[in-house]
Formats: sequence, structure tokens, C-alpha cells
Amino acid sequence: MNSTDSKLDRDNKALEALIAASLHQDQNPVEPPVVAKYMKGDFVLTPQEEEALRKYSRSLLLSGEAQTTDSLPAANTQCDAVMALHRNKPKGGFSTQTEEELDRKRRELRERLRQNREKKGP
Amino acid sequence: MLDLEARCFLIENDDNKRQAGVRMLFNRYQRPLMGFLGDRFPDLNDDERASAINDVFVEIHKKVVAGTLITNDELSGLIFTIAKRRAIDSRRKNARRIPSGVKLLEEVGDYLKDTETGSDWRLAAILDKTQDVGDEFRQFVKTLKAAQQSRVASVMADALPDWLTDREIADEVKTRFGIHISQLEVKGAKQAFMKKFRDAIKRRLK
Repeated sequence: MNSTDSKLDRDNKALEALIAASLHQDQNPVEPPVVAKYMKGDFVLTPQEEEALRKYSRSLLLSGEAQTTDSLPAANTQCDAVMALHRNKPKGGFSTQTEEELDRKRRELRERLRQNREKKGP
Repeated sequence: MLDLEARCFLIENDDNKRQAGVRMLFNRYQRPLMGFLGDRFPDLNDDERASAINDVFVEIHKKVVAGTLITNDELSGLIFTIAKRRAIDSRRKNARRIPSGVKLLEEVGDYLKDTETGSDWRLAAILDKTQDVGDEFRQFVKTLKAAQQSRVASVMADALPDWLTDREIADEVKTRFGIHISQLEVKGAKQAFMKKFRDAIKRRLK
């Protein structure tokens, strides 16, 4: 800061500095509590944001994919079935039968992950 | 557990399955990421943030193909971090005036010394209100209608007051985003930001 600045100038610069700090983002990893906040759904999207997501999700093209901008690959249908595991838990919890089914599915997936890792080796 | 299903797909040899895994992650994370980027990068528009989110999953897929993605742990931290970095790239695209090696946040304190704003800020910190002030200000930036003002905010995000003149900010906006803005408009935008920020602090000290 310039030592010859007037009191008003210095005060304005202090405000500008706080503005810069509030907008600034560094390259550091995002902290787990921040991730958890958003994964818990602690945010609200505007209709415009929802629309932008819809628009861009149609155009997500992973390398090697030959895809039209309007269709998602068939693999996505497969995803949807598994995505049921991510549904929000109802207030009173799931039924015993559903909990058992979820546990079974989790065990199955963990086992599959372990087997795939072993197949691949260290 | 959250990403377990997707990680099962990511370690398959068949790229169709790996892509399915990436798309599972995309479906799961796109909305939380939009919320996160909206709060942290209010100067970027909706399309820029959505584009940054797409880039995250293109990058994840590249890592999978290259065999450099560590699938032993949850991917959420990595995904959010890549999103933040892609958004920073979007904000700084074509930037010519980002000083390298300078820690902006470490120098803010120097500007607050012996100022009324500095005293107010310290009091707000004691009252645990500084986070609220920042949130309110970023929300204000997010709702700006004029793209020019948002772009001034993009440049200010990486510059302390003495680092760039209004003319240099105008030049930087033109270089980064192709938007012509006069020095007067830069000054006007900065004054609007300062008024908003000052009001947000004062209101919390009443």
C-alpha cells in the first residue's frame, strides 16, 4: 500500500482487498467438510443453473466416444439401476428388507472391486 | 461407499464400462458441483460453470485411461478439486497479469491496518460474521446482470488494489473475455462492489 494515500483512499483499498479475498480461489485441494456440505445437498440451484447442467450434460463427450449431442450412451441405463443406492434415505429409514438388500448389494460390489483389483495386480 | 459402484466400473478393461463409471460419477456430482462453483465463482456464468463441470469428467476419464486415477479411496475430494481448478482456468483464461508466486490472502492484512474497514472487519470476525459477509457479497456478484461487472470481479479476484490500475483491469477484461469496458465502467463497478461490501459489514455490526 502507498504510504501517501489519504485516509479515504486507504479505507477504499482495504475494502477492495477484502473483496479480492472473498472472490479469490487458490489451487489447494477442496477440504472434506466443504465437499460434505455440497454432497449433503446443502445448496439451491437456480432454474438457469439446472438448465445449463441439462444442456451441457447432453454434450459431455468422453474421449473415444462417438456420440450425438442429444443422446447418452446405452451404458447410462445400466447406471440408473445402480444409482438407486444413492437415493436419499427416508426419514424413518428404509424397511428391513430394503436395508438387507442394500447391504447385500454393497457386499457384492465390494467383492467385485476387490476381485478386479486382484486381477489387475499391484 | 458413495462412489464404490462407479469405481468398480472405472477399473474395468472395457472402456465402455469405464465410461459408464465416469457417467455415474457425472450424474452423482454435477448438481453438488454446480452449487459449489456457484458459491465460489459467482463471476462465472451458468454455462461457464457447467462447462467446467464437464471438463472434470473428461479429465477423470483421461486419468482412468492413462491408469493414473487412484480408485482405492472416495473420489469426491479429487472431483471437487478438479472442478475448482477448471473454474479458476475459466476465470483466468488468457490472463496476462496474474503475479506468480504471490499469496494474495497473506497480504490482505496490510491493507486493513489503521483503517475503519479494518476495525469493522476485526469486530465482524469476533462476532463470527465475516463468512456471512463474504457469502452475501458473492451472492450479489452472482446476480449481477451486466457481464462487464462480473468480468471486473473476475479480474479483482486475483488482484489486490495496488496490483492493477483501472486501465489495466479494463485491458485484462478485454484480453480475457473479449469484452470492451472503459476505465469509468471499471471504476463504477468497483464502487458498486465496495458499497455492497461496506453495507454488508455494517449491517452485521448493528
